[in-house]
Amino acid sequence: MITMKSNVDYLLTGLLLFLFTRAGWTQQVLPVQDRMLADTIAENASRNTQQAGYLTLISQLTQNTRDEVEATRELQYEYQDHLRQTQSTAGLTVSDQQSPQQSLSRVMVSADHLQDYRFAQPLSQAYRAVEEPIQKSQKLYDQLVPYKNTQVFTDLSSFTSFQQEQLQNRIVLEEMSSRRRVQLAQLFRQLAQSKIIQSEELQRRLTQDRAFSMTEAQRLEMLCRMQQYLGESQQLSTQADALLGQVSRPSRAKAHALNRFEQAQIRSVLAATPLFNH
Amino acid sequence: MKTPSILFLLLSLLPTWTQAQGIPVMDIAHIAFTVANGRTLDKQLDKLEEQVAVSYQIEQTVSDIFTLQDEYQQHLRQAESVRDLSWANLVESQAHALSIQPRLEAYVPAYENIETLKAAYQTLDGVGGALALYQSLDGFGSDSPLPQSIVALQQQLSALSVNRAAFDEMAYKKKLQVALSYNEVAGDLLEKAQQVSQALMVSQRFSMTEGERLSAIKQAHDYILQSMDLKLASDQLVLDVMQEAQASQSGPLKRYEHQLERQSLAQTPIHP
Repeated sequence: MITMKSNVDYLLTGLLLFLFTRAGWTQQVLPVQDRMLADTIAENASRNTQQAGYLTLISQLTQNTRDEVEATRELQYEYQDHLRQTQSTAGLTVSDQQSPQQSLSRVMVSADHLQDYRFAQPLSQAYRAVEEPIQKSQKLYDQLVPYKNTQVFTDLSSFTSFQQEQLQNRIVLEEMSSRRRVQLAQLFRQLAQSKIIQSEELQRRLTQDRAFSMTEAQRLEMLCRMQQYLGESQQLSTQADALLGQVSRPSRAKAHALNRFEQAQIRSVLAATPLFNH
Repeated sequence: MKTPSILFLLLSLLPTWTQAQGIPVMDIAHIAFTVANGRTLDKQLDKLEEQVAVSYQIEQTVSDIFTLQDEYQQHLRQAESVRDLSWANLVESQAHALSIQPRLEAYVPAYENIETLKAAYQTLDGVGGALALYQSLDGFGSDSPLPQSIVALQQQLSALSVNRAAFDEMAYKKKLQVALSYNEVAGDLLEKAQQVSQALMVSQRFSMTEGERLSAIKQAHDYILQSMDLKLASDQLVLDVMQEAQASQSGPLKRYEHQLERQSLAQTPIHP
């Protein structure tokens, strides 16, 4: 642009000079001719034109540089934005931390089965009460342990009824604990399955171009972690089975009660059996 | 660049046109200054020439930087360089681990009358499923009243023991599967450790910092240790299964033996 303009300027000056000489306006002034001066000025003019050319070139190069610097900056900004986005990991099952958390809290809330038994009302209250830890544990102890040094029994019936109550309380607590264990075992199995799904999904994404932007070291580390996930999944499922296995053996208090019940039943059958069958 | 050269032609012709009318003069001072101007212009030209070269270099460098950035970002998105490692193929190398079944009947297809247990084991979600599973394994609880007669009690107990036996058998089989899987994974880990430590030593293979490289090498070492641990764990699991199965089955087996003995005693004639 600049060169064009200066060229036009040269052209205009030349034209004006030419016109002046032709039109005879120069008659009022004394026409002189300095060839040497004209030559040196002409040389300078050629130098100026050359400079203008160089400047054009420089300005072109500078513009290119500016564009490239701008593109680089853009690239940087884009990458920063990319680092801030969560879209590419949002759909992954790994990033769904909420559902296991929810299930766990559901277990914790609903696994309190103490109220399922009518007679366990006081135990349930003691268990739920918001109290000083020492007092609360003392209360629980009183409800669960069949011996109390402060209480003296004078007759057999009150002694047995107290023992009975304690046994029932223990059954209730054991049942609550084993129900909770079942629920946790189910949770473990759920986690085990989700870990397999997660690692399969991650593996697919990690070995797929353009899914994630990360260094090879990070990629390798993620692959390592998936290996771990699979191991954990196996461990969790065996752990869950072990927990369920514990449940499938009756607890001590319950086995005791069941045994007594069975014996009572046998006694009653024996008692009702007639001595002579005719 | 065409126009200036034409202009030059015009301008250099200009003195010849005006030559005829003018009186030849010589303005020494003017010429001297114009020549001096010319020297300055020459210097400027040299500087500009240098400037062009420098600008060109800058342009090239900046463009290289842009390409480098762009290429590296593309590199970060590619997965080719890790894809061919056997690490990347979990599905093949972890076939055992992936084949652990959540269903009960995959392990104990022969058991009958364990439908409730199967269904309860199947449902993973919710309190209801857990309670049903509890019901079919523990048997007696707050929501199931004690049976009224000794016969009903015994029926319930025997149904329960079938459930427990089926469950135990499944757990044992699953444990054995895990043991086998550990064995397999142990071999796999050794192979992976070898492969990755080799790949890490090759120049140009991976682009990572030295810290990352060192920690990856450490990971490979850890894999070797893990592989040994897994071998041991695998053996231990098999031993556990043997022991547990013996403990849990000795009761019923003893009873069965007694029953057979009773049968043979009952059939033995008193006078042969």
